[in-house]
Amino acid sequence: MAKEPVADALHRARNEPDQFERFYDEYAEELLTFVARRVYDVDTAVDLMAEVFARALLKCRSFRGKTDAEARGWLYSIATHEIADYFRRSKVEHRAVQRLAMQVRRPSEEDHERIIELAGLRELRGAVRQELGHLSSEQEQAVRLRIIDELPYEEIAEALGISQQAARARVARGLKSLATVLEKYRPTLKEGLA
Amino acid sequence: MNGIGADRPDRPQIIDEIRAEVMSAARRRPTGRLAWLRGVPRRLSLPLAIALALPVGAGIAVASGSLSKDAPSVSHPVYELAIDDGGPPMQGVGPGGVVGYLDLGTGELINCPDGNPLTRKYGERQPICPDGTTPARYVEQEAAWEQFLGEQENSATPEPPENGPNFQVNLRDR
Repeated sequence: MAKEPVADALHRARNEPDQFERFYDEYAEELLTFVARRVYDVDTAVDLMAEVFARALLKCRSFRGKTDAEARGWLYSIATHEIADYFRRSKVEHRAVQRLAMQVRRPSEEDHERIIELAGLRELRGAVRQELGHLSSEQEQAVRLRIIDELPYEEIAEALGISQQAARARVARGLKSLATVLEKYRPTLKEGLA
Repeated sequence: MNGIGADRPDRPQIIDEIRAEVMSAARRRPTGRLAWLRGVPRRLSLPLAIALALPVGAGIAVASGSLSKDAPSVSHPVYELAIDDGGPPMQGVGPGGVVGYLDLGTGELINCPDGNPLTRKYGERQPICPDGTTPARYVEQEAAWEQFLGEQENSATPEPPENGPNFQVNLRDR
């Protein structure tokens, strides 16, 4: 028996909230992987993933597509916007999560490790190390400390003699600058699926 | 990079936890036509909302005891609706301003667990009660407002914001 298209479930979710679960289950894991591969940080990826689905829930009435490809494209357009916003502001805006009064706790150490494996973050971090030469020295230092050495922002700020906000901004802008270069290391969405 | 994810680890538990939060939020949201609007033609919803915010709403609020012009001395500020400030009933808060939130079903201010109105002062991003909670009615109506705005963003004939379920009102510190 053929599975019902996810797009239909998303349409029905407007009046039948339980239908949204089908949409979530279809794309949650791959979206988390997608986001983690772009922000290189598990906690940030979890926050962004929750914000993306919260925003999708709030906006599901605006979805006009008919196919699963359109449903996925719609979700990923929201995700791309949120990731761009994250890089611009150097932090995750939790507007939709807060509006829905959702609680998003920190992932466990076990989950941290699982997400790193799923997203291939170790390999991607190796790629970042190889491509750091494309960055300014300021950004290279910050990105190296955060992505390669995995230091918290507090320690990065202290090491570089700058504020935490400045440290976040340098890392975010450095990764944004590397995004195009690093595309060649990332598998396509299709290859990333189970 | 080949082989990434080839030996798939177990699904992270955080995905299930977030699902639970998303679905809990989904079930709390009003579905179909907004519940409070059922039976009320859309063209009447704005006048209804304004009527609730103006003296009728203030009268109900005063009569119900949620606001009182002759309140005994209390440790928290007592607010009254700014019904005679010459401005529209629902607008953004400026410096020194305070906004409250109406329950669009009852016309009364949404209160915190301590009985005081839920408020937001100038410079604050979100309203929150002193005990750190946010009333469910606010969350529900805010979601409906967000939904209305989202629909207008994608509509070929968007309605102006004043036609939507905005439930914010100006208050004034007494």
